[in-house]
Amino acid sequence: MTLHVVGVRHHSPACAALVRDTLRAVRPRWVLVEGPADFNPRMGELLLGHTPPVALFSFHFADDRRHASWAPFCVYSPEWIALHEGSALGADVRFVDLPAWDHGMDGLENRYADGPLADPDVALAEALGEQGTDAAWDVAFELPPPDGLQERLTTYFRGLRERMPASASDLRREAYMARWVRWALGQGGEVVVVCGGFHAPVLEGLTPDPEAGEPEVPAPTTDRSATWLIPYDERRLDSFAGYASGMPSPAWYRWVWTEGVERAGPRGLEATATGLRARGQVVSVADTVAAWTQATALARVRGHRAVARVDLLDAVVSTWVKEALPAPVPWSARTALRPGTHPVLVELVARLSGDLRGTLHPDTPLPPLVHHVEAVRRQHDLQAAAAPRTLTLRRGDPRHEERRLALERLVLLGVAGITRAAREPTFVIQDDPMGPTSVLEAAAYGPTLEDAALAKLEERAREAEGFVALVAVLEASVRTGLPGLSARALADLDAVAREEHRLDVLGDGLHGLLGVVRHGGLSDADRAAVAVLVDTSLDRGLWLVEGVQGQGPVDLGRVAAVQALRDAAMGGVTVDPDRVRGVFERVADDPAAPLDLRGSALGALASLGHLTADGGADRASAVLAAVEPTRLGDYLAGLLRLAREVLSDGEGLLRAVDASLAAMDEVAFLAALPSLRVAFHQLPTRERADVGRSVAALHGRVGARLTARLAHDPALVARGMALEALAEAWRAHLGVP
Amino acid sequence: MTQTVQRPPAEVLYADELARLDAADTHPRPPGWRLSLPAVRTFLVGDPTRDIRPKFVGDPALVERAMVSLATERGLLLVGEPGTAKSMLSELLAAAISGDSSLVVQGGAATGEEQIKYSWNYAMLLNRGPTPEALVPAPMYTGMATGRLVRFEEITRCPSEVQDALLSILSDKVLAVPELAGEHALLRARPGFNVIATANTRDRGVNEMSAALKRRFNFETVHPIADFATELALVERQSARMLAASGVPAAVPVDVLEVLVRTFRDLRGTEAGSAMDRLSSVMSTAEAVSVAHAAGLRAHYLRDDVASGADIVDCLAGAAVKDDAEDLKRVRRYLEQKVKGRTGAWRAMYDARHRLGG
Repeated sequence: MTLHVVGVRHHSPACAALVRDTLRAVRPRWVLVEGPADFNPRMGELLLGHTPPVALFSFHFADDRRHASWAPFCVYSPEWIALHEGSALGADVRFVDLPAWDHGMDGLENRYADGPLADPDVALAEALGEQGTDAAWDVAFELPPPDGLQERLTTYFRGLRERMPASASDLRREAYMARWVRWALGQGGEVVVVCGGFHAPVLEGLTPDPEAGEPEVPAPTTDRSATWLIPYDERRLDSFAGYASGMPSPAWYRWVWTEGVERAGPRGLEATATGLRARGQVVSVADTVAAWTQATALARVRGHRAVARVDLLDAVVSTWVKEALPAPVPWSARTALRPGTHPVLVELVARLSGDLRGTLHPDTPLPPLVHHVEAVRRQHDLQAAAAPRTLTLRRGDPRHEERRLALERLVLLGVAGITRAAREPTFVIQDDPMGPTSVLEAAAYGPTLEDAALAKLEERAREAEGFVALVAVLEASVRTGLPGLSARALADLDAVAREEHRLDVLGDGLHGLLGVVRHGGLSDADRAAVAVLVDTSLDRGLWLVEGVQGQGPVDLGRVAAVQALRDAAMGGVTVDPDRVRGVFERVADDPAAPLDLRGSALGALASLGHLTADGGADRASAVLAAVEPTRLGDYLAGLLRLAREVLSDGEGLLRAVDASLAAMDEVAFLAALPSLRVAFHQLPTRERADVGRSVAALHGRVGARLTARLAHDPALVARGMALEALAEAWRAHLGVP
Repeated sequence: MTQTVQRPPAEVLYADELARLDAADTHPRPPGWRLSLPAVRTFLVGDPTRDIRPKFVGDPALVERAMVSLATERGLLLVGEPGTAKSMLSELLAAAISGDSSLVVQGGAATGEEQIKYSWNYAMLLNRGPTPEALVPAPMYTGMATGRLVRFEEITRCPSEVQDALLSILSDKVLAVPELAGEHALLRARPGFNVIATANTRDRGVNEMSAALKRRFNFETVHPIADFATELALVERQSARMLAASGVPAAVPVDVLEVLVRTFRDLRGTEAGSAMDRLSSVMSTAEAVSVAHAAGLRAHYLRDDVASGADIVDCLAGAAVKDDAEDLKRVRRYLEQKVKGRTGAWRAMYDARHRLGG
């Protein structure tokens, strides 16, 4: 009756081998594995013969607390090896950690996450002269021969434990694991414990408790809580994907496990070269030779027994990237890849990440979402048939609200056979051979349609790139009636808003945000969060708008951006109103700024109440007097988009425009016409007619007819239009700009 | 050479450290190298236990990659924004590896092949014809003949055809001297020879390197200092040293330096979420040091005071932003929109915004 504690780093091939060797040597009666104890009765499901990566997906959706977490296994996970090797040896294998719904697991999305590592590891990395803690781990434990690995790990983990304080949840989990260990020791027989290295020093040296009964599993506080086995993939395991994942470069460690540490380097280089060539990039034999020479030389300089992961990463970047990189490489600080990363780097990281997708054995029980989706579709009459069915369900119509929400959520989850027409409340349902599979895949997101849709939404938020895409996710959350975006998604939005450098894109996103605020349906917390985003975007937009310089054709995108900024400034924002006013004043008066922007800035000042309509008309007239007559429309387009009243509320501006037009000769007028059309299109038809009447009145033609009848046969006109459409289609087809 | 020169080269400045590293070096040295790779790394990154000062504040992995590139077939090209210590890194590497950082080709529009390879003593040439004695070696020739590193500064400023003179030198390690006959017609490089070139990203496109030459270099990007505290400490240390050398007793107060460094980082776009556009002027750490120096000088000699936020504004306009009207506008926009309302040294900076001129 002895206790063997094997402290591991999750997803470490070296630790997996140690676990395997220990189990074979000890042949224990009990194998206790860090994992959700609630799954013990269904342990057999894990041993059905799946192809990893697979994961245990746990969720707990109570009203006060929503929590979803994964426990991913790859083929070289020490826990996976412990389960399989343990049962093959006839041992009693148990998970001994708290269930995912316990408070001890709060905030933990990935049970087997290794890091971000703490300060003591940073100290280790510095002492070893390695870049980053992952590299240091490889050098200390993955690369050296396995002799004495157990001792080295024990020393390291004890040191780690001494230097790093345990959190309350660590202590709670350890107390629970300790009960299992003492109970199993009390039952007699050899006991092997496989747990995260940080916990190992606490579990070593525990004594048997023969009195104890088998520890009970804490029950969930809601019935909307369970654990299911789902397929997983390497991409999601990779920390470079910017997700709370366990490890960097899963494929690399798969090669280490299956082919040995010496073979991983060549495999990684081969995969990267092949991947780049498939993308049409030139990778010559000389390049591969240079990369391999560099990698082996780096390994030698750094005292590595074989080419380590960072050696290969460094070598490929040194030898294949032929330009300056905009940011330090991601492995120096375990950061996610940024948008705009060099293609060689993207491919390199992607190849070492791998694209292996796990599959479940066909006998694995179906997750609850499959049943739930079926029930929902039956309840709301959303079943598919061979012939497409079209449903039109307007947002906000209480009679169809539940049905509409169900459809929106099915669309969001990518259930095959259900589509929504763009910007229309119309849905089409049709039989699709991929239908059942797509629901099964969506089951990874949650047990019910609502829960799964929410998780999916959060994933989309994580993966969305760019301001507009992220705002679209926010809009989707409102459309699906699923408020409650994660803090991280909101932080991402905040970060991209701060970095967006295109005024039109920022305006687009800000417009979307304001729409979300207007549409309502947000919880108080979310409304506050969105308000912060509006603030950030306004702040960024004000910065950008003052930097736009130069003349060019009318750009309604930036005019719309000024409009969005003005709309934002009208709401309750924290940005100093003096600053808003100051920016618009300076832009309106800046001779180097584009005319449309100057016009819209003046319009913003007028509609924010800093100018009376008359005052605005005076200033606009002054500007118009100085601009080249053909650019008249540019200025007006900006102005009228934001403040039509400047034109309609008095005669001052109208007179100025009229005078400018009167001074034009025919050539100048024709040149001015396109932008004037854009300008007057900003007015609703009725106001346009009013303007026409006022102009007629200026010229003493009160009551004149403003519309003329075409003298041609309507059929002829229709034919002309058809021809024009045809020409347009040809133009588009031939790609003529 | 003695220490009385204005700026001694690295191998003189750090002669003592190099000698100690050499004496204690047990690792194998690549052919032609004065030190082993680990010793070179220590020389650059520093080791307090052996009293080796850190000289390169940056990623040690970059140093490793650079050394390994130099020890292999390919040349090393350091790229990055101006003022990220590329030339300093190249000087230190040459000093440690070859014991000599003086073989330098300075790239420019007027750089010709004769400044890279060799030229002739024309009197002797006319008198005796082409002989080895009449040949005047340029840095590349000397480096190859003696097995030392040659530094090629600002390579992308040279015309492309001049750059391509490096092709056979880098790939075959051979320099042909067609004017001479026999054994002197071909100079084969001795071990230890390689090229460290630098290029700054602002000059990109001035003279784009040919793909053939690019292939013969490993590119290493030198990034601005990632971390605020490190950069602040560096600016503090260097500006204090420069001010002392200029006879100014008081260093720039640390709160003013903080404002300066923060401003530079904002305007450079280093700071995540700074919501700012990058200036086209160089906002490097080296520039920050020179602004701090100028501000300290100004305050001391003009007002007999220590530097304030207002001095920073004055020096920003002259020293950092140079003549770029666009950048001046961006700085003004920065002051108007971001600095306004902040307290402390920021306040003085905002109040002095009219001094920006332009």
